[in-house]
Amino acid sequence: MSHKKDLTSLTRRRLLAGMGGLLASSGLAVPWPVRLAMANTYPDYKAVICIFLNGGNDGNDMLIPRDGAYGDYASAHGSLALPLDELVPLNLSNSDHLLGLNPAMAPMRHLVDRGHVAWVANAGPLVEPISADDVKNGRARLPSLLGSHPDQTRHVSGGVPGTFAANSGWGGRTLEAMPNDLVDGLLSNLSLSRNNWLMRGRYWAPTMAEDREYFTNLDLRHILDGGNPMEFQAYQEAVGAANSGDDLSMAYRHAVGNVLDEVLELRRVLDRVPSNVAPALNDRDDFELDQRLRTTVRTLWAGREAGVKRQMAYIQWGGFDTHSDQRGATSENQDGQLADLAKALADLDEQLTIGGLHDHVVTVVLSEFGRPLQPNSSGGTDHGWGNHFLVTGGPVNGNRLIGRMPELILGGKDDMDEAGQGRWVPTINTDQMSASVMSWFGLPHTSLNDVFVNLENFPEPTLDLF
Amino acid sequence: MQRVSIRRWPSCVVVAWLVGAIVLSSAHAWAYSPNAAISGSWFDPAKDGQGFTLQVINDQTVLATWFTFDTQGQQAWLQGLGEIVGSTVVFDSLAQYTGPTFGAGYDPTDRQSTPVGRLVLTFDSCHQAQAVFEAKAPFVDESLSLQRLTELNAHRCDTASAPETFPLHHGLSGAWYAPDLDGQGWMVEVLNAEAALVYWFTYDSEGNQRWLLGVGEVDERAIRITRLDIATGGRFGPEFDADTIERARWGTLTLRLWPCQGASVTYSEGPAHLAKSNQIQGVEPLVAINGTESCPPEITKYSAARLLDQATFGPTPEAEAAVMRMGPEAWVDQQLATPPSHLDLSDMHCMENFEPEARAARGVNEQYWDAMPIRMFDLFIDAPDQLRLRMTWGLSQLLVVSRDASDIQEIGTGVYFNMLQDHAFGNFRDLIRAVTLSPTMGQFLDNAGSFATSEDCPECLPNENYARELLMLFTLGVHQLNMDGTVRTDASGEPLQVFEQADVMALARALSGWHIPPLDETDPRFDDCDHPFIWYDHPMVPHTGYPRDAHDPGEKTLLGTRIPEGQGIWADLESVLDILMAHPNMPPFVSYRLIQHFTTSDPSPAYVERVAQVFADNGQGVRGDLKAVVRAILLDPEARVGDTPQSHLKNFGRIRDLVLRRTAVYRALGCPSLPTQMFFLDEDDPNYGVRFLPRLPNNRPFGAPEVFNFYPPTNQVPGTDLVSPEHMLLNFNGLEAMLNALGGDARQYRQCTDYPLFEEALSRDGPALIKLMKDRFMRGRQTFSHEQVMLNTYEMGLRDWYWNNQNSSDPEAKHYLYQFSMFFGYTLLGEEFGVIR
Repeated sequence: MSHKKDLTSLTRRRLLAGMGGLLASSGLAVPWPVRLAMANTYPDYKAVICIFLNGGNDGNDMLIPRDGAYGDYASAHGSLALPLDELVPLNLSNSDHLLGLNPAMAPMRHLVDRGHVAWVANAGPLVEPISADDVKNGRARLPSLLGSHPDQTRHVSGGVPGTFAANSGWGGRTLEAMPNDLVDGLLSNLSLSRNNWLMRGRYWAPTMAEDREYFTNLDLRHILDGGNPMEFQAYQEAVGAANSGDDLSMAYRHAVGNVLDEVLELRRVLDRVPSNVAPALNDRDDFELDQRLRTTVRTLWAGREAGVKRQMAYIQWGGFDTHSDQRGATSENQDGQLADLAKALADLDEQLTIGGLHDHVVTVVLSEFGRPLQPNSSGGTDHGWGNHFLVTGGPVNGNRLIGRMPELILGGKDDMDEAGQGRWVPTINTDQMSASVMSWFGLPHTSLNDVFVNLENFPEPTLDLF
Repeated sequence: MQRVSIRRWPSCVVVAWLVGAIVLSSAHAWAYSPNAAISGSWFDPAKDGQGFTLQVINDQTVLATWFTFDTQGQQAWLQGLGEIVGSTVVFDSLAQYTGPTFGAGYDPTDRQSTPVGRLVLTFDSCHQAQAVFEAKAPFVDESLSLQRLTELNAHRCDTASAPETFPLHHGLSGAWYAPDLDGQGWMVEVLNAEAALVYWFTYDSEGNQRWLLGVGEVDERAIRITRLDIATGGRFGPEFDADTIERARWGTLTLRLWPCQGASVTYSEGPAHLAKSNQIQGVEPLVAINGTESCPPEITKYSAARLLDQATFGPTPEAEAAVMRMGPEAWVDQQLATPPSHLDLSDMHCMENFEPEARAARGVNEQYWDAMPIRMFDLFIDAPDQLRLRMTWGLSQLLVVSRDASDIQEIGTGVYFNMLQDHAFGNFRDLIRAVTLSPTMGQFLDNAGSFATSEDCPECLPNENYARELLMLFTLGVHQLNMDGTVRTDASGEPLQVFEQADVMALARALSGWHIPPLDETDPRFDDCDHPFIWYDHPMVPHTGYPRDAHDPGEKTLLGTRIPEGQGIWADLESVLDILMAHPNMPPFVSYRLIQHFTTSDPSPAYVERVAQVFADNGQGVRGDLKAVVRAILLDPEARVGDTPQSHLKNFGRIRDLVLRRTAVYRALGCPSLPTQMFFLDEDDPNYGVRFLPRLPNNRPFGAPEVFNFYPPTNQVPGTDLVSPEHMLLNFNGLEAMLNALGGDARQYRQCTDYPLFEEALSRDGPALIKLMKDRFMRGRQTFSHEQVMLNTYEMGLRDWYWNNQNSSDPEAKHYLYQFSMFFGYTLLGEEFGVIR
């Protein structure tokens, strides 16, 4: 299979560049790319950050009607319903409904007020445009395995079983479709999470930029600094030369071989970033999401300085699978986590401004599915489908609702559920949202259908987000 | 497989029909020189009902056993060694042995030998011979015209026809005996890849001779005879009449002869439903047919260590010796029969017991939050039930609970661990019932307190969390599977789904109404602490009190099967188990995941199917017998074909997870438990010393980030089709844990029995150290890819470091084994250790 060869050449290239250079220069560090010196204006720089809310964030409790539909919401949502008078009002220019935000998300209010947030209503993975009636009548072609966390995560990430996209995601595939001179093997495809289907290309595996677990009494930096060439040689020979055509052998050697190479190179990159880029802002810097976003900003900054034109970073975060205890302010409740998210997005906005990246970066917040409006008996909700999302950043044309809020009536016109528990049939394909962001990022219109599998079934492949 | 049975024996014609065509040669004009090909069974068609087995031991010697009757009509077997002379084989003295009594009272010293006569066999061809017997009283002279009854698979007369390919069994034909029970034995004739004829020559309860025979099915490593027969009614000599011989079923016999040493024989006497099974251990080859190895394939250190890599927490010299002594099959059986070890939870029900003062008072030196995995490691490293523990480590990744992804208490994971231990080799149905009722699982996936809509609670809706994962993660998966684990698709190529949302909802209703048992205030532990965690000890119970009717009494339809209304919470649970167990997805789904845990991440469909068949039916009509499934996984040809270096199938194997990396090091060093590295929270107060758990990034037992385990079972290596879940451990944090093989401070290893061997080698020379590493960590293989650079590392760094510090007066410098730890780490970084295959 030809793509295996691609994997080999890509990973080997990086491995040899990192290690060979070190050895050749007798333990001296590889000089950081000379592009660093020449880059100072960035007319064509763009980056996308994907934050994936793990477990299925309940969009019903993110965007809530403040008009007559509030009554529908409150009666169906029972004890979980958020009080009307606490909602953060949104002034959206094109919404049928008056909408408000979960009060936990108040920390991102100024971001909203400045027009940097657009909301996408009732989106989800779709094969083709359908209605709830189509589903109930069995006429609809549905995405496979609705309600399954890993499978819907794969769908939202662009992995569709039985297609070329089975084992990759739209982020990685987009980067692979980009001209070579815009992207960089180390710095364009960044993942700060182990589960990173969205960023896997057909052969391009993301750089693991996450290092928050990093601590050591085994200081790998002395390898980076050329402190022990013998160790480095041992490392290189242990995993360097695959001596068989065996995939498992190659996979092990390449993975182990690339890890140190990547981490060391990335560390070298981050060491060059001035401390006033993504500085500690407030008492939230210890929070995991903030930390990862700071690492992201520093990596973007470094890439841009090095002349890289396109970067994507991916963070999977949180535990939004709130089958119980959905309300509450801790990190196990939805509200507590939405508050953390809102603060992190507000901080990110500030960090991007400080780093001079604000007008070049778009952040999209995803999740695998929404949740039914009717709660279960544990103070939580189970697995649904259609969900609300947000896209934020300087380039975003904000303060607008894209799409239509579902009718919040159990068994109503948007409810696919025979039992009438309020599982919304999406009216927007999440791929339309993702394709919009990727179009802005520079993916040619002619390549959209190559990256997004079912997009050709939708008359409007992209949304009006920018 | 053709089922072999004999309507009436010794009707040799029937046997002949069963074992294949016998080509009778009529040409015997010239003399024939007997060789190994005469091995097999012979009979005289005119005196059918008795016969000989011949076994050519070497170029000169033949062992003959004449299965016949005495002149009084009792069974007799006459045995002797003969010498090949020209076209004859001369047995100067056949003997009749008597004395030992069958069964538990068997004493080999009771055996008496009586000479009965001289036998001469003259061979006309490979198919015909004349037998002349000059008898001593009470036997009488006899002449027989013998024809070939059976040929051995590896020793056909027609040498041009190659033996059927089943190399494991080429050497099984021959005589077998148990040295402790000398005086009886088994004559084994492997006829083809599917059938073997076995004679058991022994005694009855009075010490008289008895012989039994049957044709058995050969599977990879055993001969199973479901009908072992006894013949009566014959009379030696001229009065012999085939028509008076009666044949009756005596019982069953199973010979586990591979790999020969330490083989065992299991038998039961009487009707199948009454029979009690007996086992004879320590069976060994007595004679092998000339020119064959008695123990193919040879059990090498490599193959023994390889099995231990697959089935335990790492090889040790002792375990390797056990496998080599017993053979893989007997070793696996012994492991399957080893009772479960358990975590000690007696001090885990009060969190405050692990406050430093309380810890010191109790002599506990583990921090509460690390105590469970530390104690699991103690078991992984040294407990005798290695295979069971390994199964539990696998099950904990299939039936996931995690204290990191919920607020379950440490003791909850401990109770769950012990529960998995108890059920690891039981039936999957019982395991799933126990998981469903586990309070730990009930808390983790919210089925505790999942209440149905009722009059008392109209707003209640059953929680779907557990129901969904029970279907898709624990038992059936999401796609319909063929028996070989491949996905079934519809006409347009779309995968067929196992269940729909409606099934999840129905299952949630069927499993509604369970609750964690109320605190038992009479429990003696109740008063031990402010917040005793004692409810984890008991399975969940039906909820009582308000709201009433927490269990949904209505009819449910689950996966197309109706669960009738009103049958109650317990019966609903059993109905659910019925439906899950009967589902065609379960055998391939569960088998696939267990194969992934033990042997290979990306098994072939044929391998999956063979194991799934055993899951579906263990041979006795039982579905879900995990003992049989584990046995099938480990002893499958696809798993064993790599028992010689470099011979494994392409892409076979699995990346060694971080737990197994750690335990392999501890076990190879002979550590009696997890080495106690003391971390002094307060240097001045030894009471503050606590044991460390090694770093296991994303691999800590019961610490998965979510119910989907550390890695998805379907994870494919980016850019390839290769499935490798553990590949996701190969990130920076994983690498750091891998390189830091001994921990930064290796002083702790001085607690380990064999550590001095390593330090001695370290002090002596590089090749000795490298050899020891290869012996302990690489199955004794000859070399590994980065051996030379490791040798250089020793010569140019480690040696000097050792000698410089060895004489240091600073104990820290002397014992600070960071350099050695690094040496370990880099040596074990290669795929020779990193990939179990």
